[in-house]
Amino acid sequence: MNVFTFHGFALYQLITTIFCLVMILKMISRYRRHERTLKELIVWVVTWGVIGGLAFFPFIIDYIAQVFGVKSGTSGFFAIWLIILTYAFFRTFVVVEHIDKKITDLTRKAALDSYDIDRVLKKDK
Amino acid sequence: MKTFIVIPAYNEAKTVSRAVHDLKTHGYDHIVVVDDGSSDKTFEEAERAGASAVKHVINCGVGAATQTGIDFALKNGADAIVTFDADCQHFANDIERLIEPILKRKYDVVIGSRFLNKQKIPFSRKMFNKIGNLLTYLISGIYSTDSQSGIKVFSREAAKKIRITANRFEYCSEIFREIKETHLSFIEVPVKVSYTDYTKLKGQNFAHGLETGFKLIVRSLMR
Repeated sequence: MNVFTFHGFALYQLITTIFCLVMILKMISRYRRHERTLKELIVWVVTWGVIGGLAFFPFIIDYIAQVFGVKSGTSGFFAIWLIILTYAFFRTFVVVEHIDKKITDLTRKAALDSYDIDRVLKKDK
Repeated sequence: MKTFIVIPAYNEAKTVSRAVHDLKTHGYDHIVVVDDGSSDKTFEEAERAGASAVKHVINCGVGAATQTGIDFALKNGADAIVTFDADCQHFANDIERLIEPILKRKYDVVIGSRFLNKQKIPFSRKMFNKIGNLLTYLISGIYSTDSQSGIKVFSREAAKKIRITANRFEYCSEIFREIKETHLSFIEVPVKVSYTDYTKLKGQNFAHGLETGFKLIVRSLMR
């Protein structure tokens, strides 16, 4: 079976690299809209940059695979998707944390406001 | 100097009134109990004992409850804010020594340490604390002998600068990071602690400890 290649790049390399580029552009856009801090931008640009870089230059994966005793570079493909899944997990964690924080802020504000209202009502009685 | 005692409480109806009475006996009149969405009578017991009781409608965690108490104290003109556990493991007569460095304006934050003097502490608590101390050191660069202590004192200025964003037990380590980042000074002062079957059931267990550690690491990476 013929393996699809484009200028010598395998399909998984192209998909992963494009995906990483899109994610980096998305992070930059969010940073410009003040939805992300500079630190977050750096962390994610480095993370996606490393994943994209590894997909684009698979010899790095081959080298790492050798160091870690993984049989072939193709295993690197699965390693990359494992990293992406890990990212998805952390991303979900962050989103949940963000929602949790909003609910907490609301609860805390309601608690203090309710105390003040109760005090006024007690005084009126 | 107006001192406020902040007591975060979750399902502590059995002990909260005793803790409030004990504090009142030692001359502390400004006590705020933050009921963190308890399903028992914690709120009513705290009010009956004479504390200002504030209620979270849902359980948000000890960190969130502590921050609500601190905000309440600041709003009501506190000069010094003491955090105190509701399960009666702390002793009210330790507070006077803890506040002293704040009164003398020598330090911004005082941490009550259970480990500076030898006393009977369960092995599991010692272990959790060691792990907590190590994680705290990794995220803040500060080594504390009792990073997970529930009894702390903040000057008004320090309380205004420190913002607790962690909801649960990881807030203890977050405070040290805030101390470091906002350039506050702190000192550890030994405190006594009493562990009963009741207090042993409260606080961190192994699962909580793992969750706390995980959240601390992820939050540090995401900041």
